[in-house]
Amino acid sequence: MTVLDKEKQLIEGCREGLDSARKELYITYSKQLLAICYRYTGDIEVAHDILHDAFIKIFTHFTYRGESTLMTWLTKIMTAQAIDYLRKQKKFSNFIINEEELPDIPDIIEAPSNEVLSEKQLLDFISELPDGCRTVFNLFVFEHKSHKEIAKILNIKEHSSTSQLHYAKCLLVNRINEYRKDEEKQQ
Amino acid sequence: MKKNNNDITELFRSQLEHAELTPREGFWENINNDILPTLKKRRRILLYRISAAASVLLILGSASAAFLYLSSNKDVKQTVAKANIVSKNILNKNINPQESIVAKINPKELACPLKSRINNSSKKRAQKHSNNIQDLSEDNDSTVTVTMHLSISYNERNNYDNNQSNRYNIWQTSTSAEGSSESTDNTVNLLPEKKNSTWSAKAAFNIGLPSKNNFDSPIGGSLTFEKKLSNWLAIESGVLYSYLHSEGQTLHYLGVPVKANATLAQSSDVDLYATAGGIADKCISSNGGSSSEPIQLATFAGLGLRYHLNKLLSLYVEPTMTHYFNNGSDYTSFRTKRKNDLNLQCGLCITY
Repeated sequence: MTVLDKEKQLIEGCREGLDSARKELYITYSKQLLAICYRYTGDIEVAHDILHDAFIKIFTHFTYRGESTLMTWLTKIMTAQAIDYLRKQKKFSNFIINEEELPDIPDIIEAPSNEVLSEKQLLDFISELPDGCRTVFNLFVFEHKSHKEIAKILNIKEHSSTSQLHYAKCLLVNRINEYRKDEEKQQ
Repeated sequence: MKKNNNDITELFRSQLEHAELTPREGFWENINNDILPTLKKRRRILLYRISAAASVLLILGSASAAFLYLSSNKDVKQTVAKANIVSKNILNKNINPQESIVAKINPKELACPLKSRINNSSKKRAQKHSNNIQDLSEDNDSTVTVTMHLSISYNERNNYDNNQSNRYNIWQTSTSAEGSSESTDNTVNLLPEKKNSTWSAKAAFNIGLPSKNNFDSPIGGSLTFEKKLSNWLAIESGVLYSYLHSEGQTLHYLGVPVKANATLAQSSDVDLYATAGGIADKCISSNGGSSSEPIQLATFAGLGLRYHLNKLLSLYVEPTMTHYFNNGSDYTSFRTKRKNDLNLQCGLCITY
């Protein structure tokens, strides 16, 4: 049985409400989906809550019709659930930064030859970002959304999205540089 | 700098595109246990929604049916009234009811007693009735209806004794007092007494005063029912939808207004009334705000002007001053910015 056939069978099973298919879907995708939730929320506990609610939504209202890949559809649901959570928690209120005084993005310190930033480490860097610019960064980098689309999703102005992304990049570069300096000192 | 931009974006994109984190232990069991209760809850909500939709359809259907029935009933009453006037003329002339009376009805004669009856009412209405009667004599179909009614009336008269029925007594009065205005009044009394309409359905559009801030004027619509308690007092309630929009924030409220309307002045065409009451509003949906806000209470008072298009329909306008109470929400909206707001409500009222 090919991967496509397997996925087709999984989809049919979920549509029919089969426990085995649901579990299979959970096992296959839960790890990637949890990473996405964590990327958006910056809190592993909240990420679990969102994953839980989104899976309940998926299993009780399985509306996938093959319009994209299953993973793309699942990612969309997770993203929407996470943004909805952030919106309800009024997490976008800390968007206000002085846009006229945006710093230039610093240069990244060359990585030591033996250093490889782990997935967890990079995820942690993102989680440390303020909620507003973390969301813009996620939507721009991982969902490939334009600033116009981001502005529409988050109900902000387009130039706010641009400045938030810029701010997020600055913070991330600084954080990576800081991390590498610490690593060098330890060595 | 551009290179750095791309570097950092690419670094995260390439490394985290397929990143994975392992969920905590027992997480699947939690999800699995919650699926069934959620499915049950969802089905129950669906049932409620279907019931609500069916109820609304039923109410609308009943209201439409009642409206159509009352409208047609009103036409019947008018026809019967005309018929009675016709009958009086026939009685005066001692015409056999079984004969065809079509050719014998003189519109001018028919109009005469009616004019005496409506001496105290508006001339406009009298003209209308007079025209109707003229139409009656000109329209063959209407004449057929009248003929049928006369036959029935005569049978009743023949079957009653002098002291058996009030209806008959009235009928007698009408036949004995020929040509007088009193006789015509009595003849009309043969009809069932017209009930005063006490219920009205109102559909209205609301708009608030524009704000100087970034907040747009709140707008909304309402569907309410008014019950007339006495000639001057009525109570009203229903549902009110409000839409509040500002930059980056859209709030939808659904509320229940309860108000009392006291008539201050009345004429045949226009009513002036005072209105006061309260609203309980609940935020049902929000974009950029919080939907879990507490219920917003408000009180209002104002004046209303109602213009009667006809007996059933009227247009009204109500400028009111509304005060929004603090509901403990820390969220900024039009209502928190402007506690007291001038609202204007314009609508259509159907009395049935």
